[in-house]
Amino acid sequence: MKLKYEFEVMDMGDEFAAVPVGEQADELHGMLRLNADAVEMLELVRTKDTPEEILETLCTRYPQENRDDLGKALRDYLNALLRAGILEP
Amino acid sequence: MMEFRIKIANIVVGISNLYPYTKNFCAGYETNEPPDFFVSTKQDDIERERKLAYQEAICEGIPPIDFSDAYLESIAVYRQIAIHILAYDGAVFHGAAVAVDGEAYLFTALSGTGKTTHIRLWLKKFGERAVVVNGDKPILRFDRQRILVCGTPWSGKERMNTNIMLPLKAVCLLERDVHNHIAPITLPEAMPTLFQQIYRPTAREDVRQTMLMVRRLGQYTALYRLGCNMEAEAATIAYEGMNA
Repeated sequence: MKLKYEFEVMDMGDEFAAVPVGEQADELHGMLRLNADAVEMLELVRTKDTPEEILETLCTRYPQENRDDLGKALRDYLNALLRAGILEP
Repeated sequence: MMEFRIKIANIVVGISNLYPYTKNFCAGYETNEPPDFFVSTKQDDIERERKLAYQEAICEGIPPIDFSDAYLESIAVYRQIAIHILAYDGAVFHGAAVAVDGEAYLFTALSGTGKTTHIRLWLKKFGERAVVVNGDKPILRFDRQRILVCGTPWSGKERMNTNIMLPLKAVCLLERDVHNHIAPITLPEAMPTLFQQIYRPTAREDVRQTMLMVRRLGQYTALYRLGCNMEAEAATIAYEGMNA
């Protein structure tokens, strides 16, 4: 699992924006609108190798949250990235 | 090679290039002041522009046009300027900027939507009170807590531009509609279009500067979405909506 693009992320006020950078940036002319949770997930996707590693990190960071709920949120997020062509399986 | 200097957005650019077309094209913007930075073009830059123009035509589903080397070189020059001006809190933006009573309004939309048609309606409505700053690709500069919109020679096929800099009052996302209507929008709502229409570099620091400009558009100007037809009323609705 790997992000197809590198992103620059910036707090734009009410939301964050993620814009692709580097040689492949021209392929993705769009941008991502993210909330704070999605920014955290994007950073985890960038730095972790597998969904399991990401889930473990989330469970450690948010022990009060139900593991199944975190897992579902993660799956939904990863599927959205896959559908957008931003994530390589 | 030929060399000349132009002053746009209060920045002096030294240009070294191959064909006289760009120098002629920049008439009215020439200066003898010392350059803030230099740009230069080679045949490779022209070939790159040819390739980009071809790709763009394919993407838009229109037949590729066989542009001259001289024309493509002028585009290459502006592309280099677009990168350099990021360091001066500037950015090139795809839109038509018209000013009324010294305040500028920037209309942005995909090519062919009707930006030029709409600003012509403004010229007709406001007469001598109105001036076109740039009909296609103005430079925006952040200066002393305001955004300035700046005339440049690169202004689309109609060549509508004036060598002036004026404070930007509003950015308006223009869409065709049967009826005329305008409403304020938030920066998050406008962001996808703003990022599509601002010149997008690829180097991380340049992207960061570009994102800062988009954020400032939300902080220091008003943002609107305009649905409009080609009737004279469209200009009235737009102006009154942005001055309510």
